[in-house]
Amino acid sequence: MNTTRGIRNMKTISSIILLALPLAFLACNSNSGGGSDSIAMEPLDRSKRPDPGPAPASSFPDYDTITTSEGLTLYVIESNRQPTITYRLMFRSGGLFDGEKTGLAEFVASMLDQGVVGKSAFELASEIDFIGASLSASASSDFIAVSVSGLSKYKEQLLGILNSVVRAPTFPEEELEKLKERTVSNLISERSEPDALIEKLRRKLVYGDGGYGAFQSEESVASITRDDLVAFHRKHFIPNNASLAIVGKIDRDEGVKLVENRLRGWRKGSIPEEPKLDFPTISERAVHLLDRSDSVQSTVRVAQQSFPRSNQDAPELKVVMSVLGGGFSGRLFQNLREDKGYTYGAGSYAANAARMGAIVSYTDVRNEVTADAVGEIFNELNRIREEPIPEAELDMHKKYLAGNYMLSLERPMTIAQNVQEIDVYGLAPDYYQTYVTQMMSVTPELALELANKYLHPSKSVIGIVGKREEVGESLERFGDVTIYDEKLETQN
Amino acid sequence: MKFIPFSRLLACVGLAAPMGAFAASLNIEFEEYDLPNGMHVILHQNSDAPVVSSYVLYHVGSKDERPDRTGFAHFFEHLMFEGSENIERKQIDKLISGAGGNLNASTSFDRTDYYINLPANELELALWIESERLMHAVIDETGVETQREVVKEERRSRYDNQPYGSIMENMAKAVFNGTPYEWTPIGSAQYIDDATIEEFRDFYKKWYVPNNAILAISGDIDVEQTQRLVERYFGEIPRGAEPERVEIEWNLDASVTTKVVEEPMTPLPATVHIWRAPVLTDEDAEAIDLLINILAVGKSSRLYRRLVDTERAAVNAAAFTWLQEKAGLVAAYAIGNRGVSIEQLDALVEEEVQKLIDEGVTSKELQKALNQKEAEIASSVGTMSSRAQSLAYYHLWYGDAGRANNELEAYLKVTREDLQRVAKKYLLKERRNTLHYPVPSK
Repeated sequence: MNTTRGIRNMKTISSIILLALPLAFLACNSNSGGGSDSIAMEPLDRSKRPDPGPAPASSFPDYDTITTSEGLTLYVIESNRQPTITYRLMFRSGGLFDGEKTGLAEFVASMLDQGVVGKSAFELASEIDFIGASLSASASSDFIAVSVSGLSKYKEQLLGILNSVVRAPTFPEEELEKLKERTVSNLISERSEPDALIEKLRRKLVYGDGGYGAFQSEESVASITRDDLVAFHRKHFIPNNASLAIVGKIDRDEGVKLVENRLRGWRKGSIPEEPKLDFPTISERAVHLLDRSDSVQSTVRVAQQSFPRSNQDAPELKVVMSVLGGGFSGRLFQNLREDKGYTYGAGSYAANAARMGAIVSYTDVRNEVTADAVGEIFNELNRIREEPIPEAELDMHKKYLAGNYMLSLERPMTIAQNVQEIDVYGLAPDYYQTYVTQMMSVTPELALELANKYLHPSKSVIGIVGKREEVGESLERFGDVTIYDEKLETQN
Repeated sequence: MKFIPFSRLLACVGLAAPMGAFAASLNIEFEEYDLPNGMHVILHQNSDAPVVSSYVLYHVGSKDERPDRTGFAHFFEHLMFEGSENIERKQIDKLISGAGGNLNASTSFDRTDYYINLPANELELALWIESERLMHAVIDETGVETQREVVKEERRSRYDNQPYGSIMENMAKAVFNGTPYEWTPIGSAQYIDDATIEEFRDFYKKWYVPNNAILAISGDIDVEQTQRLVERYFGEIPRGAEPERVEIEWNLDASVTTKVVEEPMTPLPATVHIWRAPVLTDEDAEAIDLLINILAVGKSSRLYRRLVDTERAAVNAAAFTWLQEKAGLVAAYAIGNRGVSIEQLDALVEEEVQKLIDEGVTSKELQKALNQKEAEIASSVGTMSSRAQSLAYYHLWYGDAGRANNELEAYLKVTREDLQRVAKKYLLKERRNTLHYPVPSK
């Protein structure tokens, strides 16, 4: 059991690929030569930060991209760090295609391993467990991801498992009924979890009731039938709507051969048409309080609508967001935690979405300082729009982002995730080649311009899960207060 | 690092240990030695990526606290980010951010650890920061006052404001009763408030000494140069007195309890069965671990199959261990579907456990558990940070960092007879503690 100092790790950020430039930006002074040979000579001066050595040349793993005759995009990312292999298949369809039946994509994902042609759910689970493999399938609004991992000595069998769950699920009625029961239990459970509640509230406020804002209810669960699953699966689980990343002890030729053998005969289909989405207009600041009468803390989000993930300013805005609320050195963490002691964690992030993202500031604070904390979040949102960021602070965050991006490349799975993000969100093919350069190009002037262009405190919603009796009144100074219950129904 | 709702938190608390170790096919090469001041140093070189991880482990955790000063070890972890004689207050985070790295720390029952990940050319920065905070951290009122509030909020976020949030404390209280494991690392805010600045300084003086520390570095380093740098930054720090540790009597014989925890936020009925288990390094540890796999890992595991799948009684059912330095527990739990009675959950878990005792496991199940263990070990070697942690972990608890390379061997020795024997020895009903979380009637 661990108790840590940390902050919540809100969002994996896109990173990567073949960063051509050497990481000279990491060195404060790349010519000073650092410590090595001079060590023995000079006594240690503890009062000074040690000089870094010469910046390391980047050594990012190469990867191969292949398009199969069925239109499946295949990425092979070879890594010999550990004797394992992962197959990760991503479809460019997700919850946005649910239609009237919210949760349909999630149900399809959850039912993939509940029976396949020739095997019951238990037989399949036994096979997976016996070789120590793991299978996961999940749906978000923008995509469905199915991944299988295990020891590389089972690479054929692992791909066979992926193939059967993706292409030959049987969606047995009985298993669907069981899943519905568990889902309803989970819905009940989520109504007592502050993090689950605030996330639903935040989405509803930013996106409205459909699309990205929709969430499951007892009614939507009851409405889903086996026919719905079959139809969704038939329409969306097509190779030309997907990419497959293979990560591990495998080279290009072997990867291609495996896929050609195992996924043979997977038929193309027509790419589903993107559903129309309507987003609400947020014209003024308002407070939305979900009354959780036993809360000893307020779970706070200040959120606004933002751009689609593919917006070209995304890397540059990332720097601004990092100054505002990235990591331990972000302003929100420094202000709300290290200066005021209001909270254990605070920060901000850009929530990615293909059609419309969000910009979110977050914290959990004790009841009595709830309004003060909200006030401080707005102070920071305003300050970053009004005052240029000091050079040193900006520089620290650029290095923080660039360096941590490089560190993230240590994990081959990160490379897979990022390559597949290009595919899912329609990013420029060279997105990750220019990513660091774009971040490093941000000047105080550009940061100010971007902050004003993209941050809109006056069009932000304040979402709070907390104890109305203790915090409700104090929030009135930020605008009208709407009260919700744990099913997110309005109460006033 | 993350906030985890408790239904999920339960599933991962067993990992006071960093993620296992390495499969036999991998060879993590390392060098290790003691500095004259007693600090143990482990170096692993790997040039796959231009990164370096520094990992410092102090052999002090919440079980080393006084009963009227619980939460001290964890509170101290927070203070160690405040600053040192040569690093201004609040600069440690910024130095690491500005170097393109990241850092954090954690506290368990038995140890406190600090890690820093950096581009490889910034190794010296990590050594400077870690040696500064070991040598002369600044412990003053400003830092203490702020972190008192921060830690109270941490407690609220992780525990007091979450459904089932008291579960870990209740488990520890039930099973570790009478030992310093009966409180958990988050401790009591009251005691942190009561403590004087002198007490914090005494704690630092006692535990934060080089002879109570392990420094593991892995990544793209030059080993000889790193040895010189380690000597340069840490060599001058004087050895401290050997910290005196409390003796802990640990055996399986103890009275058992059943506790009903009435909390207004409990969404679904839950039961937890908890037994005393041996210490981490006991010869039965691997057998218990495999037994847990058979009971609860994967959708073909016995508890999942019976409670979730066949009986449709539970939304989730699992089991885990906390094997610690001087005590241990094993637990099984079930969270019921809406409307299921706790008595039914209890009966089902009990039956599945009793079957292990009466009938043992099949050879296919044992093989499955070994395969799962092999895969788990193989997938834990991916990062330099995980390698540094693993080497330090095996050195501290087994006196053998090299166990990181052959952990699987200990599992391969386990037989079916061992599994039934440990089931009989540890999982008897008369040794069981029970926790119930009923749904409040509204």
